[in-house]
Amino acid sequence: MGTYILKRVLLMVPTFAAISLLVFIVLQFAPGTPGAEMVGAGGEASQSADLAGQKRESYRLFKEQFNLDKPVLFNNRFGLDTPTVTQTLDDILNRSETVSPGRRIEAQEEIEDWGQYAIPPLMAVLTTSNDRHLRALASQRLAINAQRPLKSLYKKSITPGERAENKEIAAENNQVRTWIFRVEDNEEQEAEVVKAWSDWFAGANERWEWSAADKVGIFFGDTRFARYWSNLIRLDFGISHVDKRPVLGKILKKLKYSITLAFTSVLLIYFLSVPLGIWSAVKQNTVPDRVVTVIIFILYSLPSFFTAVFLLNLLTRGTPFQAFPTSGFESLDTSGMTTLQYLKDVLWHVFLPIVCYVYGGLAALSRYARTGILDVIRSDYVRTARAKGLNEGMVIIKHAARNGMIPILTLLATLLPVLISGSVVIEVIFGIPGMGSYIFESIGVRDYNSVMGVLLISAALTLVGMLLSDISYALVDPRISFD
Amino acid sequence: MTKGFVQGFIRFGLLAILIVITSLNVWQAERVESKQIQVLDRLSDLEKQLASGAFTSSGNSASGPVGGIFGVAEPDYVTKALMDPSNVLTRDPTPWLPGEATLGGTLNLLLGSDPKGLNFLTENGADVTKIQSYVGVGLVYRHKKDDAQYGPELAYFLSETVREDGGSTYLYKLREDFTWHPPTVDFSSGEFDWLKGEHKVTAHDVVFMIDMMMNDQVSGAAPLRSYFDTMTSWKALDDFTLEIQFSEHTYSNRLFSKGFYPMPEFLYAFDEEGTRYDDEILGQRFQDHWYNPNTIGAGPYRFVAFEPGVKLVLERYAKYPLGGNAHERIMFQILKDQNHWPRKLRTGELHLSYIQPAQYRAEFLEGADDSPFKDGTLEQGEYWEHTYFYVGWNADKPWFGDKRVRTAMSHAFNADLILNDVFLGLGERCTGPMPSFLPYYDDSLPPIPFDLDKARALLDEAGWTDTDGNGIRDKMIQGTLVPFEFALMVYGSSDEYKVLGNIFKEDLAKIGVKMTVRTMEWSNLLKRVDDREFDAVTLAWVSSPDVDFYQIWHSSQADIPKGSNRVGFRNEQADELIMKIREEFDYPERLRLAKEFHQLLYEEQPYTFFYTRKRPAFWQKELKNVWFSRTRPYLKAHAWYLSQ
Repeated sequence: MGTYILKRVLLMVPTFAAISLLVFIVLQFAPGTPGAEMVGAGGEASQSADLAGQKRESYRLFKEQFNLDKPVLFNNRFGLDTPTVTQTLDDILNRSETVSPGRRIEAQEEIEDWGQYAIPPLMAVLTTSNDRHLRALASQRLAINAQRPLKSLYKKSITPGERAENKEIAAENNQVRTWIFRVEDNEEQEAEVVKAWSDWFAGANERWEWSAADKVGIFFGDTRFARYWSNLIRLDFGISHVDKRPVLGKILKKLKYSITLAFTSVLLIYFLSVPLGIWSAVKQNTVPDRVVTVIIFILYSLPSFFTAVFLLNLLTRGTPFQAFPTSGFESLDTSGMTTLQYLKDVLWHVFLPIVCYVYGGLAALSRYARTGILDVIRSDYVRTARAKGLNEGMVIIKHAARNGMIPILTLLATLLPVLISGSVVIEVIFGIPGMGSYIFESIGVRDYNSVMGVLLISAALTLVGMLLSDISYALVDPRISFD
Repeated sequence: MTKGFVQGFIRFGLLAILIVITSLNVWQAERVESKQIQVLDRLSDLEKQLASGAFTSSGNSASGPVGGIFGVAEPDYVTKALMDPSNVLTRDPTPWLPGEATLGGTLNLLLGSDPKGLNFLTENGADVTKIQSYVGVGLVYRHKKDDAQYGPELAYFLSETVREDGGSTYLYKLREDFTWHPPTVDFSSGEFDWLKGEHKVTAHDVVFMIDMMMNDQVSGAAPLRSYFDTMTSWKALDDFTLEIQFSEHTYSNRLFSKGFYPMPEFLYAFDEEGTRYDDEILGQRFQDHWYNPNTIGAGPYRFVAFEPGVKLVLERYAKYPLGGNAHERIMFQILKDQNHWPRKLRTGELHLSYIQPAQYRAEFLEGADDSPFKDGTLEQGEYWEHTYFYVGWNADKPWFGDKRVRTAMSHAFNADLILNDVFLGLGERCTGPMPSFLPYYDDSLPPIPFDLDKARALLDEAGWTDTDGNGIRDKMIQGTLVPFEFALMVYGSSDEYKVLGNIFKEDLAKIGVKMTVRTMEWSNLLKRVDDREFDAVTLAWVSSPDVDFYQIWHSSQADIPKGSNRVGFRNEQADELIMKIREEFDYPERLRLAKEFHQLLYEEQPYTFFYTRKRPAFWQKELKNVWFSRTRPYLKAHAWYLSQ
């Protein structure tokens, strides 16, 4: 058993890595943009004219902060050559008037994203090109790309060494920012700027002299995926694009809501469906069993979003009843409540959502339970139990149920991830700020870090849940062994 | 047998005793807890009274000459300065609250989404603007009725001088009785003792705000920054005097001079332990500041709490000198599912809400007679938004470079039908690049009528005819036969846009143009538009009451990443007009230029301009003096009060 568990746990590592790679790739290549502002409160497609434009600079900083300027999986930008860069600069200038506006915009983003890697080719254009327009543009682009990011800019603490280095970098950034000339400037100004750049480049040259090992490092290391993983290993899920708060902290806050709902529901589902299933199995093919079967199939086929809205409109609006609150997990002001009052308040709020959670699961699980009992009820040992004079209740509970419930028990472990990931539909309709509504919103705004965080935690729990499920088989049924 | 019975009896007895003791314990704990809560409540009441200065003589006197109600008496220097003719600021003749207004109560409102963060400078969503209007304090504010006039808030004096070098200087004198709200941190741990005490709002705080706005690392302020190219200096002459200089004297700069506000340097320039950030990283730390989940101001309401997805709470700040804050508390419920809005109006959980067209139809137009939306239980009103909806034509696509084609498209767009039947008449047709109610809008231009014959004629004239007889128009462009087939991108989460697309599609089919409707979710749609990968798109612009057409219409904005001129409108005459409007001071001349610009766009039809929206709102009877602002935020509770 021990070796088996160890094997399984070890196997989980590559499985998890593969899942994360897959999720990461799908997310990164999904259409849409993470920088887009959120849709208006009313769900209307409008944008603020005061703010939507001129976002270019903030977008550049945003990309830098979230590594969105890096290639997704592999980085071969160390091989950037002068003709490529020249072509891109030329596309931006569009002197031939044949470049499409889409390409012109793309070209500007391309140069920005190349960052420091574009500096040697840009220098080459600046110093060797005989096209003045290109040289001017190269100087303007250098002034952006040559700025280095500060150390530990996004980390909480900062060491004295980094602090000193930051002062140096900031001073250099302020300098390079000004080394710009425009086409309309005179030759002297240009010469001055070119000289400043050449001197600077001569001094900083070694930054762009990569050994073969460096190149391999850059190829695999300076990418979105590698950056993400190097943080993940330290259990750092990053910060949300949207509100810049740590993803893990946000998830932990949401867990309170989702776990309460899911845990109570799962408990209720088991408490109700197991006896119900046993009862129907015992009463197999009688009228009550058929009635229950029909009701359960009706429940099973009612989608929860329909029931949720139906219950809300029936039981909260005042017509005909106003028995339950319209939304939320607890009252808006709980500060004046004692523990009991608070408990009551939460129960009152989550009653309807829990009803919606439970009835579907109840329907499914009670069917499993019924089948489980039916499988064993005609077996020999049950007949033996009856024959030795046990009363029927004892036979069912002690002998039939114990064996018949094995598949149901193991289902429990697979419910583990459900506990965490919550239910999108129910949480959104009942206005409960749990994990379900969180991932729903995060996908809408392409908040990669949040989506990754929730999915990876769910994935990990699914793996653990499957392991637990397999182990529990062996525990409850001695006939199963993994050795 | 008896032994078993005795054992069972003892077991049962012990269990019973345990149950009794536990219930007693629970009951006792409950009582203790409720007593504790009572004591805590009383303590916090006392604290509040102390903080508001109820026990000091200088405190919260019942009325002052300005704001009229619940305010502190106005200092003499303010009264005097307002009589100075060089002062740009004037007293607002219309009081925000009527004399009979009563103080108190919790006002229940809603926010449709979570604010992304609450730093007023780095966040600029509509919800944050709304919170800022309660929590924040401006140097000046727009008059209630005549919103072209400005009244004094933090600044009681503002003068504008044109210097000899052609630049302009703005001098502000600030009131000395504004204080920052206590920051919303947990003072009990002792960790934040460095934030304790009263902090006055000074000119340095305004300078700090401008410093941050102009700091390259503050990415959230980048959209603002670009407007301040010509601002050359900003400095505090003393604690309460501020001087700002621009190198050019333009109308835009005059407007911008009204837009500054203070940000508390004592909080935002420091890390959680109270150490000041290095200058090199200050901007970045400000952008992602540890305090950003909360906010702070010196305005009429203090920020108390924000729970994402649940609520945002403000409370009355009694030390706000201008008064006019009638609500003891403002509770914003965060209701992302719009279906909750009418539901919570019915149950009385919301005092006021606007509702969506579909809800307006269900609850009001087609609602039952005893619906509270119809039987007078709820009051009803509407307000206009600074919005215009449009269909934008990508001029860089082969079809839409020709203005005759664009005009034909406008003729084929059945705007009246769609506005009245799909958008339930909640709005007004608009023919140009601004909401139809602005004075800059040229009323003399009639909406382009729905006329398919005219559209056919225009397409014929532009050379789009059906040469291959397949029922779809086409044209030879650079040797290839281009059929008139394009896609209209619409926002997919709203049924109204889909219906709009389908009506348009049918009408276009009648004139030999094949259009497909592509519904897309928001972030996807914006990405396509930003990358110019679209033929036509329906969107809306939300604008401010002062027109500036540069960002959306200037040709320089057409080919830059994230530029707003997405349809590729490049017109020299327009560029010239845009720059003239930016520089012109004379109001009638501004009106004339703006109207000329409107006429030009009407002629060019880069968009098919659609409509300006009004929104229906409903509120409870106990909410009095409901009044909607003409500028954002439209629902401005400053004038409202709850009858007590």
